[in-house]
This record gives sequence, structure tokens and C-alpha cells, in this order.
Amino acid sequence: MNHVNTSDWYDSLRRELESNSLSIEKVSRRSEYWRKSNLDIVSDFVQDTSQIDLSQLKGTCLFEPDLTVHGDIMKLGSEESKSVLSIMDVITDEESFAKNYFGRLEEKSQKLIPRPLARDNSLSPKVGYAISFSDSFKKPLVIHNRTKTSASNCFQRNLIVIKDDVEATIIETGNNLSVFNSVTEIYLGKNAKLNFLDLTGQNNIFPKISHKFCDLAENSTFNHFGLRLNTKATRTELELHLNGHGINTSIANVSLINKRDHFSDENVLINHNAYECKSRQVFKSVLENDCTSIVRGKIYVAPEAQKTDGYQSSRSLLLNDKSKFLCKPELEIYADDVICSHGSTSSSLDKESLFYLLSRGVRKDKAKEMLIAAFISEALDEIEDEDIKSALSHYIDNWTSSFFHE
Amino acid sequence: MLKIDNLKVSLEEEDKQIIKGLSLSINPGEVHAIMGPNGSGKSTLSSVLAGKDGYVVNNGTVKFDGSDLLDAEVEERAALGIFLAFQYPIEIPGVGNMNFLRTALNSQRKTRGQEELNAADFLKLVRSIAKDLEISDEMMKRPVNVGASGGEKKRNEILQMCLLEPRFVILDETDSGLDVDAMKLVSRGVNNFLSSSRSFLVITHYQRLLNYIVPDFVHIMVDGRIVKTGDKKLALHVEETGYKDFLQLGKEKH
Amino acid sequence: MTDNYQVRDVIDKETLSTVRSVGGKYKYGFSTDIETEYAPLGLNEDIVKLISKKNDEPEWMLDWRLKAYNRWKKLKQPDWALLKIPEIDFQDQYYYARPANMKEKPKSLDEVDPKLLETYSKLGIPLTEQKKLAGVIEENPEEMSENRKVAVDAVFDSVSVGTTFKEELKSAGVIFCSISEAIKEYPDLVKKYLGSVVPISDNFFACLNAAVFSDGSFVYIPEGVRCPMELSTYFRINAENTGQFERTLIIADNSSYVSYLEGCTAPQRDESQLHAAVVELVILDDAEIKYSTVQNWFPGDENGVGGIYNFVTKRADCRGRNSKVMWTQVETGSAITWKYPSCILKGDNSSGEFYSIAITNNMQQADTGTKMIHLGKNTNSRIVSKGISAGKAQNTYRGLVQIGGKSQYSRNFTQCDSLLIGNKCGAHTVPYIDINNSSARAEHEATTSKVDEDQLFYCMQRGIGEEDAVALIVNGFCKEVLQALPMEFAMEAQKLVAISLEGSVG
Repeated sequence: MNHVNTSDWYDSLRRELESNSLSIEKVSRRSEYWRKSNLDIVSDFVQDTSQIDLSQLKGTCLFEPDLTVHGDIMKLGSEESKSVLSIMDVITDEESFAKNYFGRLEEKSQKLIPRPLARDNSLSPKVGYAISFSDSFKKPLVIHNRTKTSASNCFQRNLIVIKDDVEATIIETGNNLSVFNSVTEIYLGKNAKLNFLDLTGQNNIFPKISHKFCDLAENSTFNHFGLRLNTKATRTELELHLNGHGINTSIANVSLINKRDHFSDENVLINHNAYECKSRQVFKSVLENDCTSIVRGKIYVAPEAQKTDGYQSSRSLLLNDKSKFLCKPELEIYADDVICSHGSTSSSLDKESLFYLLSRGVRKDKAKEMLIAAFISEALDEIEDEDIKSALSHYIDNWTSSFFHE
Repeated sequence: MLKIDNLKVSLEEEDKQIIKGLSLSINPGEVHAIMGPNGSGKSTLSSVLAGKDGYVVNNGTVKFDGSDLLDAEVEERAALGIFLAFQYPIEIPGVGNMNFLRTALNSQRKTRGQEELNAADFLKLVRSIAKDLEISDEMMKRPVNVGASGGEKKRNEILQMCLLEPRFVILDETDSGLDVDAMKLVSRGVNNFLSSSRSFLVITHYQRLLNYIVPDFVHIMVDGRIVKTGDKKLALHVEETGYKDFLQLGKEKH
Repeated sequence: MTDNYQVRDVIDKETLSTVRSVGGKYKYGFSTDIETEYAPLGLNEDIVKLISKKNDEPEWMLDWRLKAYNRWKKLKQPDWALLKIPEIDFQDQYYYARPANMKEKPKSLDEVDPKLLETYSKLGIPLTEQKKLAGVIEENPEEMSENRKVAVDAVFDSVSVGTTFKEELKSAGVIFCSISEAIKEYPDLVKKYLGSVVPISDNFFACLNAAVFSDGSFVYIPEGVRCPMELSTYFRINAENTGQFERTLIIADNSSYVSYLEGCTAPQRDESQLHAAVVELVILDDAEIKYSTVQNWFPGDENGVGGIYNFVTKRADCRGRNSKVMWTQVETGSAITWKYPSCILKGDNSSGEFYSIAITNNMQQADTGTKMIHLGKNTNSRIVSKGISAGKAQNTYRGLVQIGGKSQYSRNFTQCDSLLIGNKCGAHTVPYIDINNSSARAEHEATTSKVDEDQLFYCMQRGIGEEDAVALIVNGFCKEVLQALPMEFAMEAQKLVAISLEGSVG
């Protein structure tokens, strides 16, 4: 392992985190938060990790590809107000903006749920990006993760700071070609807005756990969309802190899995700490061939979070007999003037709809595709940007037709 | 019976005045109609008279039989004999219609120091009223207003009125969502209920209801005030020319 | 118009007038002044032996208890529920208490101490065979013309004081007696089924119960018999510092049917008291059990002083094909409730239903729900849970719906609603849904909200006072569950709903 001279602030933070890391409950079968999860995600981790070459970390704009960044420090356009740095540069810099942010949310996230792997990450980050925007960014910023095939296990650490009144869209793509553990800490200022599309879960053959911890200030908006296509063993832990009034959030996820023993494991905790905030969670899983989808989504409403509007829907379509859907939609509510609800369903393809389509002459595999597309559309509808939505929807349709045929 | 004097009301949540100095006096046996364009404060007036939360009375008095109405709780006003036929009657799942009616009736009777009605007399009474209003048994068995059409809900309001026998009735846009047959049915219920000791305040946007329930006085309400008062001919005038003549009157008063 | 809803209307009127008359006080808080014989304080092997001896038990039963006791010593009290449980000193409890004059079991009800009979009649449970259970309203006598009989087994502290209608039941082939009697009289049935649904070491509290249970009820419905009347057990904790550990075992043999009611009260005391019961239901081919509970243990006062700690394990084993079970519970009492009546749907086409109202007010805490374990093919389950939280109370629904890989074409429907009254209480929902095959269909809906302001205004505009209006709306919110109760209990439950919420408004 290459020795890096990290900054004093990081060293002291690291000591602090290390000293209280023993109190964090370890990952185990018996843990409430890992019940029936695929523990492959943890079993392959070793502390010694090699690096992703940051020069390979490329940002392009998918839909308007006029933006290319490379190198350690990426200035997007010519403006200082939008910077993307290497996380390693950040933690070696004594004066980095990151010193007020790094590790804070990870530490906070341990309060309600033990997250030992996130702590491991804080103690030895290797690669990643630190984004700071103080000006809006109209086009989506696309971050394409590309690891070398030879790389072994990897800890990636990211930091995103969006200042007051700033809007941005970030799309993360690319596969991990090793066992992967990422932590992303996200801070949104007042009236800020971030759309984050996590499209990294496509045909991943290596286990991956990614954490996203997000602090939201008043009137901010955070929309997160995740896509899991035949992931071998993917776990996501998302925790949001709604700290000011008038916050709007949406968490949506689509998992399409049809390979044996493949696994997607989505965990969301939304902390409503202030009044008149709105949160939505929409999970859709389509499963075939002995695979599993887990969805654990919890809405926590503090006593002061009056007028909370919390909604969660977790639904699965099980296409053949051995697929499993495990779901724990939880509400913990300490304020009375709230409207919170969740719904969960699990079933196979609706025979009557299928019959109706067939009777109108639609081919069977096409009919199945149509019903799958209809089923996941509620999750896709959470994406605001019509261009991104339609591009994704086409992509998913193509994927579905090549994987879910009879 | 009811005397409103220079009433000013604003919304609790935002600092916005809706009723801006309204005076109105209603004597026993009179039918008053308040007409006005959308947003003139008609429904706010009915809510304030019934005692709904969310409004602040900034000024003025409302006396009912000489005593201050605004001090009374919602259910006390009901027991005094004030009845609001809601524009949008709420659905209460799980609470049976009959149970609801009986609880309401006996609560009021008790507050007034009257004896509660026994089950048999109560049933007889409700059945006869329901029959007049052509409300089916099936409808009476449902939870309050659940699964009822707009017209059925309005008829149910009139049934409640006939049963509870209030002395002062506010009909808040009772004609909205009614077809002609339903309107005739509802009006018949109201007209049978008219007496020299009862008064009505009919709130409506259109004149057509007033063909069936004939008012003694018609008030035009614009921007939180009564800008003109007349008899039933005034309503016909509105029907022909709309409210545009009166909008100007509202502005002049500022 | 049918007469059906007339009766319901009458009940609701009763509900409201009861609220007014009772004025929010726990109605059953009196205690009976009766000489009581206790076992020595604390728990050890000798106490277990003593309990067994007092009940004159055969050796196999004592061995069973000792096995449980030794297992229990190794177990830890569970801490996963959303409950703040004050530390319980299991050595500072009495595990056995009985009225001194019950030493010789009365042979018939005529021999029972009049003071005990009086206690039950004060509770509205006449231990005579002429009368019906209290709560039956005389206003509509034609409704009652079918002359419903209810057989009662009354358990006072650690012992059963008497069972009514025993002879009449016997002629139908039904066995209804105390479990202590059953151990002696029907050892083969007890041996075969006791612990077969809730094993000795199932959980901490069930294991404790297995070691020290003193009495409870036993029911056996033979093949093809439809039990001619409702059976019920009425539990009363009277002695101070005494835990009540009763055990109920009901076996419905092939093609039989029984409806069973359970009621509970306790005196108002400053010390908290422990109640750890186990109920086992065995349901064979084509048989059906309906089990209804109105739990009204003393809830503690408004500051959380006193009250019953209620840790109960209830489980139904639908072993037979087409077997059916229905749990209905109205949980209004207890300082702490920890209770998950469950259904194991082993037989093909078996079905389980769970209807629950849990009301917590003041400082009460409840963590309650159900487990539906689908193992057989084409099994069905339905969960309707209504939680109401007021005051500073915490109310949690916790449930598991598990459809196994081989449980094809099985169905579950869950509706789980919470209502909050006031801004100092909490309402929580913790469902686990595990679906392991694609032919299964599961639906789960949950909502949390407060009493609808518009509904409240509508009721009040019609002249109904705020507290009555809340009681009315809450009863409406609970309707689906109340309707699942047998008529006698439905009336009592509606009153309880209103009484339990006293003082929560304003």
C-alpha cells in the first residue's frame, strides 16, 4: 500500500472514528439489518486495497456530450464554482473545504443503524471524488467509474457539496470489476436541488455495497434513482436527514434480476426532523430464476416534524417459482399531524392482463415485456427529466427484451 | 334571530382578510339568499357561523337570540339550533348512518335538557323522513356519506336537517352537483320544513335554486361585503347580467 | 331495514353513556379481600416442585416443568421490541397464590366461596348457569331470543375457581375444564399436545410459563362436534406482587368448531405485576377455532405507576387440511403489552385471520401484531390491525408474513392502520414480508394519520361533543375488527374503546 501523507484534520478524525468503531455492531446473520442478506458482500473484503487510477475516472455528459474532464483536478468549464477533485487530494489538503464535511454524516449514520462497512471505508479511503458546486449546472454531470480488471477490492469515498440555491444532476455509471465498498456523503444547502441517478448496478458480477448519507437543508430537493440489472450481490444503504422545513425527496429503485443466486438489497432510512417535508419511496423488483430482492425502507418522524407526508411503495413481480422478495417497510412516528403510508405487494404476472394482450394478438414475450415495463413505470416516473427518463426507459426495455424472453 | 354586525374575518394561516365588514340581520321565518361570484367569501361566512377552525374574527359581533354566538363551541351552536348543510359533506368510514344520526340527535336533546328518544321512536322518525326524501334503506345502512353520489350526499344533509329540527339553517351551495330531479326533491324537503319560527340562509352561486326555494331577501356579496340587497327579482337580474355590475360596487366601497 | 344495525346503534349509545358515567376511571380496579396462600417469594427448582405438588401433578409433568426451568435460566429476556421495559426482578415475585379456602377444590359451584362469586359478578361474569355474560343488552330482547349460553372457566390468581355448564358440554362430548384438572383426568391428550405448538424453549416468557404455570383452561372438541355454546375463560389477578402464568390448550379435532372468549382484569395497584401466558391451539382437518380476547388488565395510572406487564405467547397450529383459525383481540389494558398471536398454516387450504385493536393511552406501551407462517399449499391469511395511540403512549404493530417456497398459490392481505391522538404519543409499524415463491400473492397496506379534522367538525356541527365525536370516529376506525368479535364481546369492546381514550382529547 502506498503511503499517503494525509492532513492533520483527517488524521485526527480518523483516530476519533477508529476509537469508537468497536461499538458498532458487526455484520452478521443475526443482525436485524442483515437478516437474510447475502453476506458475500462482506466476506470478500480485505483491508489492503489497491487503487482505481483516477485518471481513468472520466466524466462525460451522456446526453449532451460536450463535457470532458480528466486528471486529478477537474474544472468543469472554466469556473472555480464547480470543482471536482480527487478524494485523496482532499484528505491530504490541510485547508480543503472537505474538512467540515468529511466523515460527519458517516458518524451520524451509525446512530440508528450500525454500518460497520461504512466505518471501514472512512478509515481507509482509496479513491473517489469530491464535488463542490456553488453554481448551478444545467447539464447532467456523468461520472463513469472504470476500474482496471486487475484491481482487487476497493474502497471508494465520495463527497458532494451543493451550496444554497444550486441545482445539479449527477449520473454515475460503470461497473465495479472488483469487490467494492463505497461511501458518498452528500450535503445540500437551502433551496438546493440534486438529482442523483445511480446506474452502476448493471450486470455486476462482483459484490458491492454502496452507502449514501445525505444532509438536507430547508426547501432543498433530493431525488435518487437506482437501477440494478442482474447484480450478483449488491447492497445499498441510503440515509437521509431532512433537517429544515419544506424539503422534498424521492427515492426510486428498479431491480431487474433473472440470474440464479443474484441479489439486490436496498436499505433506506429517511429521518424527518423538520415540519412540512415530503418523502416518497418507490421500489420495483422484477425477479426470475432463484434470485432475491430485499427492500428495507424506514420512515422516521421526529416529534417536531409535524405535517410530514411520507409514502413508500415496495412491489415485486415474481416471474417464476423460486424467486424471493423480502420486504420490511417500517414506520416510526412521533408526531401526530402526519400522513404516512406504505404499501407492498408481491405477485406474479397478472394472468388477465396477459390474456387480454394475447387476445389482441400481441406475442407472448412482447406481452410480458409490456407488462414488465408497465410495472416499473411508477418508479421511472419519479425521474423528473424527461430526456433522462426516456433514455433510461429505452435502455431498460432493450435490456428486458434480451434477458426476459421465454 | 341572527344579527351580524360589521364582521371581519381573516384566515388563520395567512394574513388575508376574506370578510371585510359584513352586516346582516335575519328574523324568524325569513329566507335570505346570499349570492356572489366565486371567492367572494360566501362559504367562509357559513364556516364562521358554524364555528370551523382556521378563521380569525378580527372585528364585529354575531348575536344569536341576543347572545354572542362566536363564544360558543361548535356542538353548542348545533344544540342552539344552527345547522349547516355542507357544500361537500364529509365521508366517515366505519360510522353507520343510523348510529351517527341517533348520537347527534340525542346529544342535542341532552344538551337542551330534553329526554333522549328511544330506539323505536327514533327509527320511525328517520324512516318517515327518509321516505319523503326518497332515500333508500340501503343508503341508510351505509357509513355516513360513504359511497354516496353527490346528490345522495345532499339529500342526506336535508334528512339530517329534518331530523335535528334546527331553527336556523345554512344551505351552503346545496344546489351544486344536483340534477333537476334531485334539486326538486331537496327543495321539497326544505319547503316542507319552512315555518314562521325558522330562518334560512341560502348560499348559492346560481339563481336556479331560488326558483324552488323562494327567498324573502337576496343579498349580493362581493369581495367580503354585501353590496346590494333586494328581493327575489334581484336574483333574476343576476341571472341575466351576471355579477359584473356588482363587481364595480365592491370596488367603490373600498 | 334489517334489525342488524339497530342493535349496533344501541350499543353505540351505550358506549357513549358509559363514557360519561365512568369518567375515565379503570372500572375493575377494586380488589377482593380474601385470605390468600402464597408460595415463598422468588423462583427456584423448589418453587417449581411446589407448584407441581399443589396441583397434584404426575411425575412426567414435573419433569417437563423442570426441563423448562433449567432451559429458562439460560435464556435472556428479549429486547427487540420497541418497548422500554423496566428491569424485572424475577426473584421478587410470587409464582403461586390461591385463595386459602380453595385448598380443597370445590366440587361444584355451590361450594365456591361467596366472596369469589361476588368478585366475578362485580366484574359482570356471573358464575351461574342461568345467566348470560354481562354486556348483553336487554333493550332489544327479540335479538337475544336465541338465548345464547356461555360457559365460563374463571381463573383467580393461580387457580381455576370453577367452570360452568360442564355437564351440558360433556353430553356433547366437549371437554372444558381447568388445565390442572386435564393433566390429571386426560393425561394422554395433554401429553400429546402440550408444548407441541409452543415448545418449552420457544422464547423467554413462554419458557418461564412452562416452568411455573399454575392453571388455565383446557378444551377438547371431538371429531365432528360443533361446540353447543361459546366457551370463555375469565382471568383475574388479585393478589399483590404475584405473577399470573396461565396456560391454555385447545384442540379442535377433525371437522369440529369452537368459539372461545377470553377476558382479563386486575386491581389497581401501585406495583407492576407480571403476566406471562401461553395459549396453544391445535386445529385438525376441516376444524375451526375462533379465539377472541378483550384484554383489560390494569393499565397503570396516568403517570405510568403500576399496571400489568403482559408478555403473552399465543399460537395456532393449523395442522389439518382446510383448518381455520381466527384471532380477534382488543388490547386496551396493561402497562406493557408484548403479544403476537400467530398462525402456522401447515395444512393445505388452511387459513388464518388476525383482527386486532390495540389502544394505548397515558404512559402505556404496546408492541403487538402477528405472524402468518404459510407452509401448506393454497393457504390464506388476513391481517387487520388498528392501532390507536394517545397521551404519551407508544404503540407498535409488528408482524411477519412468510410464504414458504413450497406454499404455492397462497395469499395474504394485510391492512394496518394507526391513529394518533395528541402530539406526545408514537405509532410505529414494523412489518416483515418474506415471499419465497411466485405463485404467492401478498398485499400489504399501512397508514398513519390523526383523527380527521373535517370528520370531527362534521360530527360536532351536528351537536356531538368533542370527546364523544372522537369515540364515535375511533369506533368507526375499528369497525372491521369489532364486527369480528362475538356479540357479547363486541359490546364490551366498544365501551372499552371509548373509556380507554378518556382524557385524551383537549
